Amino acid sequence: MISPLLAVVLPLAIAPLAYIVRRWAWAGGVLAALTASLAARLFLSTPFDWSGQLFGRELALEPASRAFLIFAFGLSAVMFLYAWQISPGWSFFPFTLTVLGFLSGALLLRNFSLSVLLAELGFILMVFLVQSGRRGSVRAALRYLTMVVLAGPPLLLAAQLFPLLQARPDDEMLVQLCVALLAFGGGILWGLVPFQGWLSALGAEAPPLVSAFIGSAGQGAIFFLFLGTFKQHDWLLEGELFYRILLWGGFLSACAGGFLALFQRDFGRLLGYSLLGDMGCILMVWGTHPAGPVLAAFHFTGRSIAVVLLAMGLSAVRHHAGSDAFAELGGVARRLPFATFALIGGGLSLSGFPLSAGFASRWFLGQALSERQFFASFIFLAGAGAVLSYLRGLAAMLAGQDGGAERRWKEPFVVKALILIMALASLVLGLYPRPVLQVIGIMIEGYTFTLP
Amino acid sequence: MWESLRRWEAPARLVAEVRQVGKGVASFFYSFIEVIEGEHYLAWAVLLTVIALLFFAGSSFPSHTLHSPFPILSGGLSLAACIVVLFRDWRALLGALMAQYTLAWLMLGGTIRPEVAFIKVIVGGLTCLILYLTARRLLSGSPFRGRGIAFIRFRLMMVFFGGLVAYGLFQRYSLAGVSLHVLFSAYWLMVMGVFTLIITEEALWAGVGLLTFELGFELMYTSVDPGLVLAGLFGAVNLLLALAIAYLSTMQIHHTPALSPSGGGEGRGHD
Repeated sequence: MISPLLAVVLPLAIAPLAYIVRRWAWAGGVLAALTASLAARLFLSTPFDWSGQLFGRELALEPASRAFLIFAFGLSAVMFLYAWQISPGWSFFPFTLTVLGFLSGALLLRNFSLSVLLAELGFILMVFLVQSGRRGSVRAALRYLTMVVLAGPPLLLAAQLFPLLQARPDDEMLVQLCVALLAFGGGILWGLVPFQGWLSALGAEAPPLVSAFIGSAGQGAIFFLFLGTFKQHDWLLEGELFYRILLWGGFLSACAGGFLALFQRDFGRLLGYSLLGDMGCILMVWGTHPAGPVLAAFHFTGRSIAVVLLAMGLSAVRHHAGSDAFAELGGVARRLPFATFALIGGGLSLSGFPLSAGFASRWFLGQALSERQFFASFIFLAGAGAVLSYLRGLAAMLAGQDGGAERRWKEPFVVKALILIMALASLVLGLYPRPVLQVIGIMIEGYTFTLP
Repeated sequence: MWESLRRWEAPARLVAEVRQVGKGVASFFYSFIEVIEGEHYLAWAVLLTVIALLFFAGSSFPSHTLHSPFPILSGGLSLAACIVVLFRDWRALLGALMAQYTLAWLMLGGTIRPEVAFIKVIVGGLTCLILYLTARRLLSGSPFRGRGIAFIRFRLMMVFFGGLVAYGLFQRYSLAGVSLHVLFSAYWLMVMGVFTLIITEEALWAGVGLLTFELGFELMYTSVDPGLVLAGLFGAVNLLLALAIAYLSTMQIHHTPALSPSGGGEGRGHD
């Protein structure tokens, strides 16, 4: 019987090797991609309801966490291969592997306090990736570090309340306090309003693949950690406060993300605000429909593919033009057609443009919110601002002369192939969403809830 | 009557008097700030620490606690946290941080298993060592006297408001299993840590603020859940945090003329 602990230890063990070969991007990329693929395979081979103990600590691999980890490792393998061609810095391979190890450990532990601390360790490591050796402004990295550290205490305090609440499940005040603490900590880590400042800074300063990793695997890990916690302590879902926080927190974030995206003049910040608006939509549905967790997880899948696709395009464009400001990208679309396609396609999918994976999942979200027309309309309206900005960006990339033409950089074959694979995945998810939704439904069956 | 009132000089004189007193207070205040930001600030800091400790021990807590070390430790921690907000000099910051870790160890030593409490001081020592080596390499010889009186006034105001917030939290939110002294110190450290983050974007200074915040929370949390694994994980978080801060300081300072050792000491990272 294969233990998932192997899959947790594997990336941690390979990380030093990836560090040693850091001078050769191809070796680091291939090694990291192979490790991530092998870890995904190991998670796939573990028994469906695996549980065990390590040094007296209870471990369990919930079906939802298992599905997420397989997906996250698979997606990371694609990112590693891409990073081989357009490197976000030598630290990307060893540090990302270590973070993946920490996050999978956090999802395996049944003790919420330890999970939070392990995840926090992983997120602090991400700071090195966010900065990636760039001298000058450290705004994004410092903001991210601050938010990660500030998010820890509310989550850990909430964990301290769990045993108290098990003894006094009728204490409504205590339940509300616990929910508020969880919402506060989660809100910071998801970058929801009013803690959204780090998301735009991240988009502007961090390498796009790092932003994509945080927006997909990082925020996804928190989502699934919460899902597992709510399943374990289902009395948390009994009060109305939980649903209200999710609905209104999501609504405000979706509005703020959509509105602020409309005024952006560079793709980096636009990515940050798109992530904010999208996260808002996920939370709105999570808190308003019994099948909210399934729809939210499905949306996470589409969002992760879209954000990685976008990051691939953005990496290539920044590598070629040295900037991502609309004004400086004149003519880039003609020189880098694949990168432009990835950038705009990923962005439009993230914003819910018709025929993309993002639209399909937003359609389901809208249907789930059909009883609340006001909120349902915002699922689509929130994306409209970002859609307009991506189209403005496309217009800028099509017009004018290519300023970076003297570099003569052409998209390598691997870059083109990976972009096509991700675009195809996004398209398939957009056109045939039901099979994926059914699989996710089976994995997350136990996480659905009855509204109070 | 109106005319006589207009001619009545008493109010004007009163205003002039108040102004004079105000100027005197302000002048004293400015000189005080100049002194504490000057060459001999460490001596002043030690003196103020002693005064504050005496004050805390004698008046803020019931007299029977005079025989307990907790009020003194609590006062020391509070003062060290204030230094983090008030001073920009890296030596003062790291000194205050090390003092915090040591006092936290002494404070926790009386309530939880000594070996768990000892982890704090080991981690604190390593954390300060990492930051010391970084700061010495990057900032040695840099005067770093702050940004001027106006900015220092703002910092003092932050300490004042921070104190009010911490006291408010202490009065309102207690935690079962945490003694009052520990709780008060924890809130104080956390609030001062957050306020430090508000006033600066310098990685080293903000980082010390973050570590202060984290230590405040650990002080509270370790009293409730004094497990060895948890203490170890908190230690790992602190060390990793110190490494991240050292890294970000290096990235920031090497690029910012106002912060580089040769670039003078006035000004912040990037305003």
